[in-house]
Amino acid sequence: MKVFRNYTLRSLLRSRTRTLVTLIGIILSMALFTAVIEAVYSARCYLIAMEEEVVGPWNGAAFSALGNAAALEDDRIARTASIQFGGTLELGEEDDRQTVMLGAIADAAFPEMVVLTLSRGRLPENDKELLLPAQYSFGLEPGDTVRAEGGKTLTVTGIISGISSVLNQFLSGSPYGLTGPGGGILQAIGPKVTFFELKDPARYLSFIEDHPELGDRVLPNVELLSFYGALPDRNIMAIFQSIAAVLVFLIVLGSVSLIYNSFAISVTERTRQYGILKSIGATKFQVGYCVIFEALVLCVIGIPAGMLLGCAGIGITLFALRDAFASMFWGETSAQMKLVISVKPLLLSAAICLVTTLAAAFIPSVRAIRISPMEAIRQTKDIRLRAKSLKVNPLVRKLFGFSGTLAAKSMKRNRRQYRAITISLFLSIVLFVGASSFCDNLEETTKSASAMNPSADIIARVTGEDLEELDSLKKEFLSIPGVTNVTYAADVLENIYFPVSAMDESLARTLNALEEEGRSYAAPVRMMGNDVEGLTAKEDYFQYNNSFSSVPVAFVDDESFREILAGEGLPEEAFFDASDPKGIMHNQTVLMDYNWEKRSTQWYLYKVLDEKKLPVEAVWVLDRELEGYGSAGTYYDPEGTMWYAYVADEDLDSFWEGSEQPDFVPDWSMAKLLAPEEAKLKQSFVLSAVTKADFSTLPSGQCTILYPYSLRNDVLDPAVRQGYAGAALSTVSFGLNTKGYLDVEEEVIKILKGRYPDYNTDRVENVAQEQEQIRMLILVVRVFSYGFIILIALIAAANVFNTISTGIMLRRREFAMLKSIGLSDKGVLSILNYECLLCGLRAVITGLPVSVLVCWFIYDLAFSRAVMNFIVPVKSMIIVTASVFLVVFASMLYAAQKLKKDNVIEVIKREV
Amino acid sequence: MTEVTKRTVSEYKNEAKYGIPQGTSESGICRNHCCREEQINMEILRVEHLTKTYGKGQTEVMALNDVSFSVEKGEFLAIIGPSGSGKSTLLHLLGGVDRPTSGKVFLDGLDVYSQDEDRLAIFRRRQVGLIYQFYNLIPVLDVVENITLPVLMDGRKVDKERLEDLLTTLGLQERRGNLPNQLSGGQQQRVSIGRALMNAPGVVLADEPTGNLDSKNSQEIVSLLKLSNQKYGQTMIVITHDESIALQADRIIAVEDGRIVRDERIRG
Repeated sequence: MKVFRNYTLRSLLRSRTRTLVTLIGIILSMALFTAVIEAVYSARCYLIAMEEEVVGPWNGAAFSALGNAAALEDDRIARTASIQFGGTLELGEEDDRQTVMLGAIADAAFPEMVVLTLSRGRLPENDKELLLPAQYSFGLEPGDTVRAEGGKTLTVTGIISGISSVLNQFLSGSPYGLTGPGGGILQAIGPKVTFFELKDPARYLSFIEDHPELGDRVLPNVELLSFYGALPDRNIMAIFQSIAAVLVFLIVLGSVSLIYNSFAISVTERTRQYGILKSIGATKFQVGYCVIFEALVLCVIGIPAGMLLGCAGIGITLFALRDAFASMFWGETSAQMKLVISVKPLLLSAAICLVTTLAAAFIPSVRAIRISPMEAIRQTKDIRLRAKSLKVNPLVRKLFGFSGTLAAKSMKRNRRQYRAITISLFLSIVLFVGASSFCDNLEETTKSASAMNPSADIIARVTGEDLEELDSLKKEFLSIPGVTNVTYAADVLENIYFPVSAMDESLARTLNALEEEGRSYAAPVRMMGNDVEGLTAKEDYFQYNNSFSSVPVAFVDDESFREILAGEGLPEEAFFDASDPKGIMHNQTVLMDYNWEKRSTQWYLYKVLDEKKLPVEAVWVLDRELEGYGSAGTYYDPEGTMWYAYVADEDLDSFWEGSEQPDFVPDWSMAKLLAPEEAKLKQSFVLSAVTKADFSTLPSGQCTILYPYSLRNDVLDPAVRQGYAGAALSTVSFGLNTKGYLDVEEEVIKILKGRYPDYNTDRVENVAQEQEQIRMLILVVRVFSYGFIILIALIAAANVFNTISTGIMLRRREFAMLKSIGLSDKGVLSILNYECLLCGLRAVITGLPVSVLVCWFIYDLAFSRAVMNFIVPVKSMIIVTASVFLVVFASMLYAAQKLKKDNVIEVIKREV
Repeated sequence: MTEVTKRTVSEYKNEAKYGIPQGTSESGICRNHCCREEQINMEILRVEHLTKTYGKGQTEVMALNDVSFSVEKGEFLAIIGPSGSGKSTLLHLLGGVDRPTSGKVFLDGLDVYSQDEDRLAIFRRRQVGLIYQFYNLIPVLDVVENITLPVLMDGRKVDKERLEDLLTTLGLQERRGNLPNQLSGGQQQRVSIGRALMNAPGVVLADEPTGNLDSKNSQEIVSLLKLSNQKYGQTMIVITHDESIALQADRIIAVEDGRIVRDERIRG
C-alpha cells in the first residue's frame, strides 16, 4: 500500500494550489466547528460557575425525618453537607412569641456547598453562634443574644438575605435559625437536611430513580442541574445545543461543498489516473484507499491546525468580550466568561470534521472508483454531451455576441461545477443578509424600547418630604466625583383630561385621518365628551393616553424648575406664586402608530395643546377615599342614576359574602351611596407655559406637567393629598447624570445607606447600566454572528476561487485551440468575463430574494411583536452583491493570468 | 484437455492465495532461449467465440463478431486491421480491462471473465502487461516507481536483479529518478514496456505502441519488444497499423469488421 500512499502524497504536492485551498477549507471548517462547540461548552461552564456562586454547587437536597437516608451512602456522591435540626428557640415580642426551629450546620465545609448570602454580619463558627434569615430575624441584629431551651445563650452573628427555598419547603415555611458546627446546643435529634453533590451531576435523574426511598423528600438544585442538562423538562442547554447544531449544519454545508468541489474538480484527471492504475491491476479497494488516504492526510494537517485556530479565535473573542459578558450579568456574579478547553468538545468537533471531509472526498470519487478501466482511460463518460442541452438562448447571442454564446455554452457544459459555486455563493448571501438583518432588528428594537427612557443615568428613590433634607441630599450627590447634574422630583402618573377646545390643530387632523381610515383605536387620545368619570363638565374633554404612558404630574426641585424657567425666558415670580400656582407643560410628544394590518409603524411628533390657547385648565379626576370605608363599585338605583358605593371596613366581608355565586346580588342597603359629585375629586392644573426640555427622571419626549416642589401642597387639593396621590408624592426620585456610572452607583448607595440604614438598594435604578447591558448584548451578538458569517464566507470564497481557477486551468487546451484559430487574449478574457458575470448574477438573483424572505421570517418570528417596521436590508444586500462579484472576478483574473503565459502549440500538443 | 485446465486453475488459485507469481514458480528457467522449442507447442491463450457489441437497438455496433483463435507460449503475434475493425476491442478483452458480450478468454487455462472485479484486477496485475499508445504513466511517480508499480501494488518485494536487468535492457539507467514529463516520448514508452514486463506476465499486450512515435523511436521500441520476446520468452501481442512492424512478428492476424479475415504464421 506504500506505493498508493506515495502516489497520493505526490498528487497532493503536484496540484499545490488546490491542495492548499482544500486544506484552508478544512482548517476553516474545523476552526468553526471548534469555535461553535467550544463556545457553547464555555458558556455552559460560565453559567454553571455563576450558578454555583449564587446558590452553591450542591445538586440536590434530601430530607430525612430521623438520621441518614441510605441513598447518601451511594458512591456516586462526591460530597455532602448537612443541617441537623433539633430543638427550638422562642423569639419575638413578649406578647407574640414564635417558635423557631433550631438547626446546626453539621459540616465545616457547608459554606462551600451551599451559599448563604449574608446581608450583614458573618457566618456562625460554632454552636454558640446563630444565623437568622432576614424574614425570621424578629428585629435581632448581629451582636444580640438569645436564650435557647435549656438556658444556653446564643449570639446572633449574621442575618442572611432571602430564605432558602429548600429549607422553606422541607420545614413547611416555619421559621428557623442555624448555628455553626458543633450541635451541642440541640436538645434532640430531629430532621436532617443533607445537601449532596454528585460526581456526575448530569446523571441526577438516574441517581434519584435508583433511590425510590427518597421519594418526594428530595429537591433538586433546578437551575444548576438544568445547565448540566440533567432535567429533561428544563433543559436550558438544549437551546444552546440546538443553536450549535444549526450552526454546525451550516458549516457542514459550506465545507462539504468546498471539499466536495475540490475533489470533484479534478475528477477528470483523477478518473484517468485511477483508470490507469486499474488497468495495470489495482483493485477497487486500493483505489478507494487512495481517496481515503488523501482525505486523511488533509485531515491530519487540517484538524489540529483548525483546532488551534478555532481555540485561539474563540479564546481571543471571549477574552475581548469578557467585559461585555461581565456587564451583561453585572452584579450577579464574579465568574468570568472564558474559554474552557476540554477534550470531549474538541474530540466531537474533530469527529464531525473528519466525517465531513471523508464524505466530501469520497462521494465524488465513487464514480471514478466504480467505472471500468477502459471507460476511465477513454473518458467516454465525462464528455457525455447532447447538442440539445447546450442550446443557448438566442437572446444571449444578440446581447453578448460570440463570446457570450461560448461562455453560456461552457457554463452549461460545466453545469455541475457552476451549480456548486452558485449554491455556495447563495448560502453565503442568505447567511450574511439574514444575520445582519437579525442584528439590525435587535438594535432597532432596543433603540425604540429605550427611546423614552429617562435621561438620567442613575435614578435613586427615597421616601420623605423634608425639603431641607432633600436639598442636602442633592448637594451630597453633586459632590460625588463624576456626577454632572442632579435633579429630584416627586410625580404621580395619572389620566389627565384636557379641554378639546385647546387641542393642537395637527393632532386634531391626525385624529380625523385615523377615523377616516377606520383605525380610531390607534388614536393617542380618547374623546370623552362632557362626561368625565360620571362628572358632567362644562365642556368636552379629551384624555391623552397612548399605549405607553399617562401624563406624569411632577413636582421638580425648585432649582431645576428655575433652570427650566430661565431656559424658556419665563418670569420666576409668576411661577412661584403660591396663591396662583402655574404649571409648565412639556407639550411635545412622540406617538407611535403601529398598523397591524399593514405591519408598519409610523412615528409622529406632535403637540398636545395649541400653545396660542394658553393658559389651559387641565383636569385630573380621582376617587375620594372615605376614612374607615372601602370602595364597593357603582350602584344604579331603579331610576337609573349612578351612585358610588362605600362599605364600612368591618362590614366588607359580609357585604361580599357569596360573591363567588354567579347570581350574587350584594346587599346594597349596607352601603353608603355617594353621588358622583361627592365621590369624585376634581383637581385642576392651570398650564401657563410650555417647554421642550425633558426632565431627567421622567420619560423622554413625552407629555409631562411640571410644578416646583415647594408648591406641591399649594397646587394640590388637601383631599387629593390625603389619598393615593399623597402616598405617591412621598416618594422622591433623584436623577443623576454622570460620567462613569458604575462607581457613582456605589457612592450613591453608600450615601443612602449612611442616611437610611434600612435603605433597600433595589430603589437605585442604574438606567445607564441597563442601556449598557443591552448595548453589550448587541455587541456580543454582532461579534459572534459576523465572526461566524465572515468565516463561512471565507469558506465560500475559497470554494469559488478553487472551482473557477481550476476549472479554467482544465480548459487550457480548449482556450489554446481557440487562440490557434485566431481568438485574442482579450477575446479569451471576455468569454471568462461573461461566465463570471452570469455565474455571479445567478447567485445574486436567487440569493437576494431568498435572503429577503429569510429576513421577513426572522422579523415575523422574533421582532414583529416589538412594534417596528420590517426593514429591507439594502445595505447588506449591496455589500454582499459587491463581494460576490469581487470574489468571482478575482478568481477568474488569477486563472486568466496563468492562461496568458501558455504557449498555444505546446498546450495543444500536450497529451490528453 | 479438461484435466489440464483444472490443474492450472488450482495452481492459479494457490498463487493468488500465497502471492507466488506465475512464472517464478518455475524459477524463471523457461524464459531462456534454450527452452523455446519446448514451449512453442504449449497453448497460453485461447479465445472462444468472442463477441462484443456496443450500444442497443438501432445504434448497436458489433465490434467483435465470434472471434476464436489461440496463441502459444512465447509467440510474437501482430494484430492488424483498419480503424474501427475491432482490434483494440479484442486487445482490451484479452487484457481483462473490458468484458465481452459473449464468448470466453482462457489465459493459461483460466477462464478470465469468470472472475469477479477484484480477482480480475489481480489477474491484470500479475498475468497481463499492457502497453498503450499514449504510455499512460502516472505523472507523479518516477521511472522506477512506474515500472515497479504492478509489483508494489501486489505488496511484494521488488526483484532488484530483474529491475536492473530491465533498466539496462531499456536504456533507462540514467533516467531512473525522472518523472514522466521529463522524458521524451520514446523514453516514456520504454518505461511503459518496463512496467508491462516487470511482473513477467503470461502475456504482454501492446496497443499501437509506436503510434505516437517517430520512425527511429518506433524501430527502437519494436526491437525492445522483440528482444524481450526472445530474451524472456515473453508472449507478446501487438496491435499495429505499421506493416513493417507486423512483418517482424511470428504470426499476423488481420481483423476486419470484427472478424478475423487472415491468420498466417510467417516464421517459427
